[in-house]
Amino acid sequence: MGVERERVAGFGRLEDGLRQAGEWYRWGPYLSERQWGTVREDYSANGDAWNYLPHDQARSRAYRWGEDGLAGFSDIEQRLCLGLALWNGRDPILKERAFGLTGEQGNHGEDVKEYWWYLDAIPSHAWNRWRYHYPQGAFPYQDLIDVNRSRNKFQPEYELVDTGAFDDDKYWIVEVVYAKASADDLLMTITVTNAGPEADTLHVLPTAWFRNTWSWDPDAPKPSMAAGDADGSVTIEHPFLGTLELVADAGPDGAVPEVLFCENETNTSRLFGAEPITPYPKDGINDHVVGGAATVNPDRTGTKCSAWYRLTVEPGNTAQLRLRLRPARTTAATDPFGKNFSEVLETRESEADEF
Amino acid sequence: MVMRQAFGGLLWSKQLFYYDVQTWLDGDPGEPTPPAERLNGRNAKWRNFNAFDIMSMPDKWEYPWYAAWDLAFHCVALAHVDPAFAKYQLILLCREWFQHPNGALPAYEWDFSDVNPPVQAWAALEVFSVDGGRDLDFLSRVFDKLLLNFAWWVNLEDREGNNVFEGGFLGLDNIGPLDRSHLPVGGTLEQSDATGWMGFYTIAMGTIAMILNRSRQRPASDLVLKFMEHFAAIRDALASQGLWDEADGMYYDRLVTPSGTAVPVKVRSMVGVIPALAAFVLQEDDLRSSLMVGKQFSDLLSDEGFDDPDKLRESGVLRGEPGEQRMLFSLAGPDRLERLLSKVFDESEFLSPHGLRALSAYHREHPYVIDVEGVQASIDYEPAESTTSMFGGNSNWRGPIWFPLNYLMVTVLERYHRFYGDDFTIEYPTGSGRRLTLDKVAADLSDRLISIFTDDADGRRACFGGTELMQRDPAWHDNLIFSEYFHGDNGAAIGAFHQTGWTGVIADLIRRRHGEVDSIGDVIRRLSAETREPREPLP
Repeated sequence: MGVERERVAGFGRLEDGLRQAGEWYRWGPYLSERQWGTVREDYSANGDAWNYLPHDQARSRAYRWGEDGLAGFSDIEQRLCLGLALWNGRDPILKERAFGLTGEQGNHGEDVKEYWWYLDAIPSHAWNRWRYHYPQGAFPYQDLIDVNRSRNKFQPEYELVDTGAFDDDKYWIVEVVYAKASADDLLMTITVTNAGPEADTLHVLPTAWFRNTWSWDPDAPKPSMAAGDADGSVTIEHPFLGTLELVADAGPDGAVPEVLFCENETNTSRLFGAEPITPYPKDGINDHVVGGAATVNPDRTGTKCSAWYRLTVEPGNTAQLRLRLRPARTTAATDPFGKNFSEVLETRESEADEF
Repeated sequence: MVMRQAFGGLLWSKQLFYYDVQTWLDGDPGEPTPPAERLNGRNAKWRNFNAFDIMSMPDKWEYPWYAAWDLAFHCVALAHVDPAFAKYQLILLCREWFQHPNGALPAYEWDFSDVNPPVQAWAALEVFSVDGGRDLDFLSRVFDKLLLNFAWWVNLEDREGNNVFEGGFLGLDNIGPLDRSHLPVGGTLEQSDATGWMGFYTIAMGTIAMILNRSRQRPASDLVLKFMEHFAAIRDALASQGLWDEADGMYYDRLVTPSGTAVPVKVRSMVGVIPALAAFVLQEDDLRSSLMVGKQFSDLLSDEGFDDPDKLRESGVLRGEPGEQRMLFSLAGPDRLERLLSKVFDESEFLSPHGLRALSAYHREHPYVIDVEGVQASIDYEPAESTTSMFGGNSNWRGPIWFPLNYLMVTVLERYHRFYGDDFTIEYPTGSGRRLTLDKVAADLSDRLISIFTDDADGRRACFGGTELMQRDPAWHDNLIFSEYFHGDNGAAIGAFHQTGWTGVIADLIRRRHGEVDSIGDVIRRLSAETREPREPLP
């Protein structure tokens, strides 16, 4: 019996939920691709879920009932989330979540206007592979809205490929792999390929954040994350998860990325013109990277953080980034990116092949 | 590659689904009180609902919420790789924080009270079977909760008490000319699909009861009989209440107006095919006890000619040596089945190069117009996106290929074949002059579905349609699209693009095609063989 088959055979009877059924269920791709525009987040009087919390608010508003992101991964109760943000240097916002049209905007109802694929996964989620194609030119947000609005029900949908966003292969191929060294030791690699004809720069911001569990319950303890002792490391303190460390390896140029911090709190001044809850709200990293705003915490602490890599990649070339999330006490024991890192990746991939 | 990406997509589509309706309606401490309108609005009657669970989503962008009937199909596919998780999902749907105290299963967050096809019992059986037919505790547990749900159906969706069911749109959005959930005219719509689904549900429940009984898990012979009787009643109703159109060889919905006149809705759609999906085989032991105990069922048996085994053998529904006899029961019956299948497998009607269409291409040239009580509505064949705004206009059942119904058709054909063996053939495709056994038909239908994703002779994948970038560029070509539904003429992907949810059953079909899936029938036979006591043969 293969390794993964043995793991699956070991999963328990699940009476008491997944957590008790097997330790491999503790981390998985449990993040949604879209939490905005859902019934759960809708607190309107008329039940208009799509317009109550639209895409344009998603980056600035803390969600009540769940989280979303690209290549999202989280623990089983979604206390701590991992995901990917990207910026091609030309968009008005970071790409933190897939863009699409709402039920009313699309000429055939709601429709996502991005291309990503779930290439591989196994039940234990010890191996997972995800792929996304990100245009190098400015993402045609408004064009997609306008053209689809002008079309009627008898015309086809206007898709991202129809906008010319991928003409001349001017796009990034981004692959994310999550592999588990053990049930709670998570390896992440981000592989970026320049499919285009010219060298270009991509900002890659692997991101960790807590689901906001404290704003709705005055008694709930608030978790925290802060820059660790080593460069590129973050110490995560959570009342349920314990102490974890997230470590971002040096990029291909040998430089350890800067880690930016903000809070998973609503930007009340942007959305409602109200007094801010914090100077470093949910879109703080977005505003800092895109516009240079002073919206990340200089004390390097918060409830959301991103490692900020800037990769300049020649045409046809590939760059790889590595991160690791694991219980904190292991830090001293092993080099997070030593030989063991690549061995785990190879082993898990071959287990998936076998499965 | 198709199978690996299908399973990959299914597994990636897990999500935390967190929704406490009570708190959502009443608001959080320290936050503004939500508008009062909500207390009479969406999901207000579902205060029992309180989910904080990892669930399998249809599509984490377009449908980032579970859907009760989609989920059943996900579970069947997931059972191949992670049976524990598949069982967990089905149990979850029936837990007290999901199921309404009145027995209803919550459909999806837009409206938990919507009515979807009752496919959970069938899914539980398939998951049990794929898992090797071992976990009787699971089956027993789901069964108890589904008994409540079954009773809810019978109480709520059979207004006339005549075993002909309503139910509304039943997951098929715009498949009729009228909005089936909100009829624009008075009266009731007696639906052949609702009635077919209930027959299907009854069979699954009866089969579970039989397995529990035979395996000595628990005494359940009363329940076996209960469901047999119920099946007999539904079958009788479907046969006699005028849903069958003898001239067209199809089942149609029937609108009963307030004045009492009944108007058939003559649309050739999957609505009329669903009764063919309900079929099961009884073994001699069960036949015997049914004859002795079940009144309605023994009436049905004598209607079928059970007093005269020769006649039954002649019609083909009774087979096997004395002591090992088996009898086929289907909602449609052999004659109607053959006529229905001749429509279904007609390439100018339902059969496309890439699977069965939800609406017959006959309506391309022949739009159907209904004119009743001053309301006119029409429907025609639309192989791509929806041109109506019914149910948001996001999904189209008026021509495209949808996986769940295709999948059920493949599996029921295999069941018919296991009963009939090679003696029963049909012309396939209709008009081709070629007669095939039903296993060959099922295999060909599977291959048509699989061919949506695989390269054709020119290296093109049907799912990519006319998107040349995906057809030609190697950086795109091997990244497959498991969309919500597919074009009724050419198999191009339409609708949501990451619906490895139920389109993920393609992985099950591929395994089936390679003979890697035991049928429920095989599992029952094995269980029976392990527990059966020798008995005298029937006369």
